[in-house]
Amino acid sequence: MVMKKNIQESAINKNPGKESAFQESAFQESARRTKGLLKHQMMHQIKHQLQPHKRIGYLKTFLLLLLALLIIMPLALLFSSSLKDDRFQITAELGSLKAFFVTNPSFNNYIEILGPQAPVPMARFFLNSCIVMAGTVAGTLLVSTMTAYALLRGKFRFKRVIMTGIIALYIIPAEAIMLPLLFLSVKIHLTDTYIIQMLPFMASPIYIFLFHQFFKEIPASIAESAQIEGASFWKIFHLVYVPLNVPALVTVTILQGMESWNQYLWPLLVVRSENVRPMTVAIASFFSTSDIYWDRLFAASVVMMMPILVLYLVFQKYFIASIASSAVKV
Amino acid sequence: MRKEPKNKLSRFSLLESFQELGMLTPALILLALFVMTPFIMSIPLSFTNQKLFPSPIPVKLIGLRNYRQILSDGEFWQAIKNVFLFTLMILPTQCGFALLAACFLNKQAIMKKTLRAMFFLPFITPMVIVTVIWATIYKYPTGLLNSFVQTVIPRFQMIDWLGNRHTALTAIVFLSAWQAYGFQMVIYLAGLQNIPEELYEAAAIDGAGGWKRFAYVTWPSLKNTTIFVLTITTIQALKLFTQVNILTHGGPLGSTNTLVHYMYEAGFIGQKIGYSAASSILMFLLVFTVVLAQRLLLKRMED
Amino acid sequence: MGKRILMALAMIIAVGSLVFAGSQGETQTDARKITFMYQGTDQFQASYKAAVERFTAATGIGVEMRYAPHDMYHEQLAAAIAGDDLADVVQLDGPFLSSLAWGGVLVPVEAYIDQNLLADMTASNVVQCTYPPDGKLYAMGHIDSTVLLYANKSYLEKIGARIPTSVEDAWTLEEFDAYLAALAKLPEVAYPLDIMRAYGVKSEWGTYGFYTAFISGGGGIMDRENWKADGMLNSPETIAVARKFQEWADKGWLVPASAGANMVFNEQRSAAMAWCGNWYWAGAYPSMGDDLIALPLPDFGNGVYTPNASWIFGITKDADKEAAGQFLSYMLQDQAFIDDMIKTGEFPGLKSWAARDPLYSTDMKIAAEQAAYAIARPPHPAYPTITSAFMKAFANILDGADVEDELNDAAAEIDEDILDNDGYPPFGK
Repeated sequence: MVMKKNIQESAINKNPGKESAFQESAFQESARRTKGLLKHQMMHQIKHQLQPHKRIGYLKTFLLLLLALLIIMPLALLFSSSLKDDRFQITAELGSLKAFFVTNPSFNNYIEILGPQAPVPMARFFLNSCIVMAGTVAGTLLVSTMTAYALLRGKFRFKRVIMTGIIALYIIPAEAIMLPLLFLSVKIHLTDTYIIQMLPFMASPIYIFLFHQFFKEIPASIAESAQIEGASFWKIFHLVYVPLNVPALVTVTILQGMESWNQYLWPLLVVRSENVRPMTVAIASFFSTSDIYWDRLFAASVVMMMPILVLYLVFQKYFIASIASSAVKV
Repeated sequence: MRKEPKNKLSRFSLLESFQELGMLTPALILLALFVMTPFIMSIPLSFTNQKLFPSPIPVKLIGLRNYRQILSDGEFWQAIKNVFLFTLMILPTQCGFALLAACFLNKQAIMKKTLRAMFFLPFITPMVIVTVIWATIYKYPTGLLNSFVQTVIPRFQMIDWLGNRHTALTAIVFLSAWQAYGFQMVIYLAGLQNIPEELYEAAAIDGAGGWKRFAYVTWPSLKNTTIFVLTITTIQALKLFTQVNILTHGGPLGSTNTLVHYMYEAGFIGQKIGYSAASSILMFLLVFTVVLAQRLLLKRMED
Repeated sequence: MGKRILMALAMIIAVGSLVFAGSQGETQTDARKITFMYQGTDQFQASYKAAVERFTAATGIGVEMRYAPHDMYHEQLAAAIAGDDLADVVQLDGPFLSSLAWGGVLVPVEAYIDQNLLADMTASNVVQCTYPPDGKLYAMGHIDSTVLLYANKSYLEKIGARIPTSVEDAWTLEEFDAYLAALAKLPEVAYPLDIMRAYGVKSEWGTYGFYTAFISGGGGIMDRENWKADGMLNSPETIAVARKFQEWADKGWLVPASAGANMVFNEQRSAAMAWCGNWYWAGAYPSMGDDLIALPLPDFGNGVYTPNASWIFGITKDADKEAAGQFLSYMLQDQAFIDDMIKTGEFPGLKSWAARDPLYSTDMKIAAEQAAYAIARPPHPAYPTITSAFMKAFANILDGADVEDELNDAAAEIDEDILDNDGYPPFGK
């Protein structure tokens, strides 16, 4: 912890003299100048100028709220339908304005899929999805931050080529490699496990690329000064780069979490027993070719969406928390 | 982006390089095992007549026959045209709206959490459900969209949005943008957090208004984020599949067929593994060229 | 912060792998045991599970159940074959029987199945389980399916249509065409016919729902003598039937895909008839009641032919065949199991079940009767190619493409695939 403080302090101290990662702009120039010159009162005035006027703020909020309501209108359809007990009523009303209204709301659909009477152990599937999600996210964060950092600040050659190669791998559509991968997993006896549902997604080209772009924002000078202090490559990574990129970490947690949560095709191929079956696969069975159980499907979708929403709400405060640390970066 | 400074201070120690490699290897192993190997396995397959189920007669090498068949198939070229059209339409729609929403939500003080959650909701809706909901909106003749347009313009002739080959792809664009802009929005929000407050203060001192602040501070500072968003969105768009597979199966008359759907149809419905492998390799080469070109272009803009 | 995140991650991984390790420990040690690979909805899974438990209790033979979801079932099956991890009893979709029998995955089952059960199979059920080159049964089924016309009775009365009461007096094409025209003129009717375009014409429904119409018109997909598509799929008879469907689509008589699959029984009742599988009844009856009637498919000129097949059970080459046969004989004659099928409205593939089924012996009697008119989808190892080529062509034809071009292309695609595989011997000999 002491080490961390030292590095960050030295980063701030050494920084103004060095080049910054940004293209020098006029604003940055003046930012540096004013920092020392400005009196308290002047700062206050500017702060005031930056804050939008209160009445404009309310108007903006109102407009944003209106837009948000318009955007989530289709989801109101989903929610109201999940409260209708009769699946034939749902299909009959879908497509007219009646779809938005519920005359006699009932939680039967939710009870049917989650309650003790459910024909399949949905609670178990829910737990399985949670385990797979947690594992995948944890692995992804660890693997992709390390890779991105090594590819940005490592001193070996062909870094840019490797990065482009990794992005190229993202092009390969999952549908193209799924069958060979399935045959492979059957051969190495990894089917029907949690591990096989997590491993293929941990080294995600897209999140390696994302961390790469965000790490770029941290001036190389910080790493350099830390190095003078005697910090190793690994130490600089997890004491400077990781803590300075909480917004990116949170973003990847949410995005990868939701991707893993909604994985469908892959678990469909490698999962057999109920022990490790995720919710998506279980829900798909409401969709048999001849008969669609709309009532349960809609309720299950709402249930499916909740954990990701909670994940988002819990983690989004770190978007704000990181503002304090951003000052270090100039 | 300027060049990395030549670092005279650090000596290239054994421990350092060991750490660097140690951090790189897990990803490389995973990628090699789960992405590269299966893809490379499909290269030899693409020269055979391999099927999904076993055959009592041996699998034959048929040379370039699969490739020739694909390249002479009008549907393949139509699929290429469709995905490029789709990409051109969705890039500005989705990324533009995501950036706009992120900018407004970033500084929002009132109801911050609620608003952000609402804007994020479409993205966490499972695609199966998204398609079900939008199918009812696009429904013909009695769907919500048709009824709405008819209320505004009484003489409007109702359109079968997904069943008409002139409107189907555009309909898919809007549905996709609605579902996925949350992805770009979250990334832009994270990017916005990285812009130091001092830059805005300095801009305010120089008397820059809202628009100027955006043009001279926000936009340049989001450069790395934007490069990421554009690259990823392009690849995602060129890989379009799920929506099409559920809603239109590539129809009507191939107007929403995509490269991945073409490959999927051959492999998973026609069970022609060899043919499907050949088309996935062609698709990879094509998209890789596009991404490489885009990357070089963005690199030039960066310098 | 960073450190704490990393710590939390390590914890999660540790807990995850513990749970993972725990789930591995559950193994059974039965003296005699077979494996059973299956698919189906929640209710089906529950029924299979219960039947398996009863079987084990009665015989002492254990059954390890391997569920594979419907959407990726064949892929999982192929992976199991390639990985030498095949179950003893596997469920499969009827039209893929030839593919698997030809590939040597399945073995003839007759010797291992109880005689009473064999005698109880309906004609249509026997058809779906038979491999044509040797005429032997390679699978056992209890469920079957068929396609019917469902009509709004009061609309038919309004136009004075003749209402057939048996498959024998099914409508002729001329009658059907004339009734569609008359129904189109009724003010309440927006669309005279729903052919379930909402299912997506490429979701096997495109082949399953319509191949018999072409056979009934004197054409078809494959010539079942020389196993070629050219000369049959693009024959004048096939083209004529395809033109008829296209004409109906052009006139706006068919419910469009985006309108949904409920136009006959939703509140407006804006479609007059539906061309759909036996499952349609369960959806439409609750809202329409006795206004809903089931009719045989129309005769396109060459007699009535009807689709069949559902998910059936095969015994694999390396299986404990006696035990597997014992299991199938037990489960398919287990009346509690059959009761579950009746409850979900499945279409009977067994005569004894059809006789006691409250639906198929009354309102849907015509469906049971149609089982005698069933003809299988082309029972050929090239079926995956056949169905994908045909579905695409049929979808494009309904969307207005040139009929002859589409059918010629599809025929060429099918024949090319057969040529690529040396004609799939012993077929075409």
